[in-house]
Amino acid sequence: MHLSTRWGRWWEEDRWMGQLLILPMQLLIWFVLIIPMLIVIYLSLVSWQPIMGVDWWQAPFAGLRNYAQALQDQRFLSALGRTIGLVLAAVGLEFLLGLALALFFHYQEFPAKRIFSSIILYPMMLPWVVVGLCFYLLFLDKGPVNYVLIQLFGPGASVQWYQNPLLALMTIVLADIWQWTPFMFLVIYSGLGALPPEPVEAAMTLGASRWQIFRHIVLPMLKPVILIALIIRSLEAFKIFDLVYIMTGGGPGTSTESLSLYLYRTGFVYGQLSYAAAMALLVLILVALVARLMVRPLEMELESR
Amino acid sequence: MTAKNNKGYSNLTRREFLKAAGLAAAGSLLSTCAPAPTPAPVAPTPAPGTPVPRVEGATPEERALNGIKALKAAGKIKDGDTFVILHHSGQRNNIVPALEEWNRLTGLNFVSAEEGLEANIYTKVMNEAVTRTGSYDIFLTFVNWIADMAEAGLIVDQTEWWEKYDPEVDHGPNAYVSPIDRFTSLYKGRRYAMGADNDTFSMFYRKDLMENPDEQKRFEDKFGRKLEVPKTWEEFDQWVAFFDRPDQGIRGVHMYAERYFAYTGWAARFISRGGAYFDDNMDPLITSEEGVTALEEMVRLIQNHAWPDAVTGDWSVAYTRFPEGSVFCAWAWPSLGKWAQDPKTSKIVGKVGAMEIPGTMHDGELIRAVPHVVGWSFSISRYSKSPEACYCFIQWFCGPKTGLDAIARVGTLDIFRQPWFNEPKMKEAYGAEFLPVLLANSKNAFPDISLRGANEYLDKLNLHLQQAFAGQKKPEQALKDAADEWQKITDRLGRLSQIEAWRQERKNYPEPIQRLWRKKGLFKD
Repeated sequence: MHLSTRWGRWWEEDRWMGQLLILPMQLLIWFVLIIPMLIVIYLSLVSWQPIMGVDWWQAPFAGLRNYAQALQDQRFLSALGRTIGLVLAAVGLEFLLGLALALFFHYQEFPAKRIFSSIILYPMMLPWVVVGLCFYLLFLDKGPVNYVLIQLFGPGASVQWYQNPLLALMTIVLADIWQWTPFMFLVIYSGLGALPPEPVEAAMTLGASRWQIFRHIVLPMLKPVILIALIIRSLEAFKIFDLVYIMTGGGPGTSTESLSLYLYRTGFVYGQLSYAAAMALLVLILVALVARLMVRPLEMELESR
Repeated sequence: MTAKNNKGYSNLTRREFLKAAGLAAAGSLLSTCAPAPTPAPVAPTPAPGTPVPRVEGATPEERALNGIKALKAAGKIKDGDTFVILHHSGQRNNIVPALEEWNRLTGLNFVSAEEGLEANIYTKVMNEAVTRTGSYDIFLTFVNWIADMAEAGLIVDQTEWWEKYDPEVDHGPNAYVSPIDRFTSLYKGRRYAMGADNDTFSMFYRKDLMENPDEQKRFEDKFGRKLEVPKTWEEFDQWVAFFDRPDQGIRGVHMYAERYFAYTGWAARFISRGGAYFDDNMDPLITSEEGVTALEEMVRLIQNHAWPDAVTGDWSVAYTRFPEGSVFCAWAWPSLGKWAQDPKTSKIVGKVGAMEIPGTMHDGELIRAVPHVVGWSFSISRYSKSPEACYCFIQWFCGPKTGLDAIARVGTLDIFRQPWFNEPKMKEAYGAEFLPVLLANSKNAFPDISLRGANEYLDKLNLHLQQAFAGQKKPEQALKDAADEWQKITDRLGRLSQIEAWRQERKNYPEPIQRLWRKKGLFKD
């Protein structure tokens, strides 16, 4: 009786129509997202390479061996650590620069402000590959950066940017900052524009200093916007591939190799798709956890409202 | 007339990477819908040399065309049938005009599918091995991918057709330069491919400096012998050091020490010293005295007499450094000579000499070992609608007459049949002075590692060698690390199978090197 009432309500309230309308999308999601994901999970649990001469569904079961191997793989762990360091350095600096620029553009009036605010966004519109190539050329031994250094400080000032692991990594971070600071600027600048003016005006009336207004009013109100920008940018930066591939190829040796580049090499150059699948899933779990931790303050704030 | 501007591993865009990954994922998905058993990698065909009926025709091209006629008569193919050839965009000029001619002669519809990045070709090929869509009928790929393609069950064994149609690859007046005839086609002793290229490395130097009387006198005063092109690596190192003039903006040498081809210079010394990559049991031999000494010499050379971009750049650095006149000598593919002689790309036109790659003296005999790096070979998809028709095309394309016309056109395929070295067309394309040098180097050419997993073996080797060149590791440690990685690869892929493949592969090395191995007692057979 109870069931028939529920069915009756479902039918009478035309809920079936809504569910019917979303069915194609649900099926699509199953086929493009869930089934491939299940295949990746399966692949990570077997030992398979296309060149082994057996089909992937016939591959010998490996259990968690691929995962265990990844956790002991020094190259994987180094690439993971290096990528995390790269994300922290690049996204951190992008945030600080983006925030400074946004504050400047928001609070200062100067001629052609709109034109400049548009120009700032251009790097973000360029493909990664173009940015990578430009920065690669900039830091070549006979490139413009060394030319300027030699002009300023003499022939001994030339730097072998790509031969020193730390300097090579720095050139990649610089390229990333150049391209993606505009994103931080755009998001924070929009956030500043959307803030209600009343709290700031009230604080000014009460005699608060600029720093106090920024620290205790503007920044807390901007927090959700900043968090979103940091999450989006960090997730994107974590997948960095093109800049590393083009500028250093991960070298010298593996000293600038990012996680994505190592996964690419493992899967597509070495053909170890099972192992690459296991590493990719480990990374996915890690990134999901970090993203969860980053989103949590936002959720808490929303809940408190 | 070849432009090797697309050789080596090019940069991969994120878009292309994502596309490849998407294709692989989609392919995996598709294959769940229509699973089919993987064919055995090695098809049972008669052993090489078994007499079989031959197709009529005086030349390989005629026999290929007669083969098409017979296939049509048997109803296996018909006019207008479409066949797709996957190849690199750098070969467009070699292949597309030939396709038009072939289609006109046969009434078939062979079409070209170009790929701009070499690494993407491997990805597409392996994707096809998994998905089996039959999208491609013929593959033109790196020579050392053949093993992977054969073991993945993607390509067919051509041995039977070689006997039936006789492409005149390894015998007769039209034969390929040996040993290129062997290592561009054989895997585990069977013909899985047909070579369409010659990527033997060549060394180019500044002839004007060598012919300068002042330089000659200074050299003679310093070393007590005449200034001549060096024959041994020891002489080479002195020669390079002599002409290394960083204060004048010219360094002694450019040899690859970067991420993808760092092995080339080391391997040339290592093999000429009598080294081999593996022993009978597939245990690596690169940590031997020959290997370590060769790497120590190379590290000294690169760190003391080369620009830093020998380590940090890519394959194209040779194509800028040498033609701009900032290095005394450089080695690369044959096309470097063309670039250096072209006024559009070079500042040293008319000042370029070419030389045989140096070697090592063994009891009075000079053993040279010249790396054959990359190289392109035709193979045929098992999922083609008519693999035999595809075979006929590749025999026709690589034939003595058709191939001559195709290879003489600007593109990334280079001269490989011996009689072509005397052809006026080729002399015009390559320069009459360079051809004898290239021929001599080709006769001493040894293959890249061409075992199953070759990509991984070479990449791991390069990784550690580059670290040695960059000063991050001692040569001995770098080779030990590479050897450890090789052991893991061999164990993962199956040692027994790799042992058999290596036993066959080392037969493809030049005879003087095999003789040296026998003398050293390196292998049991």
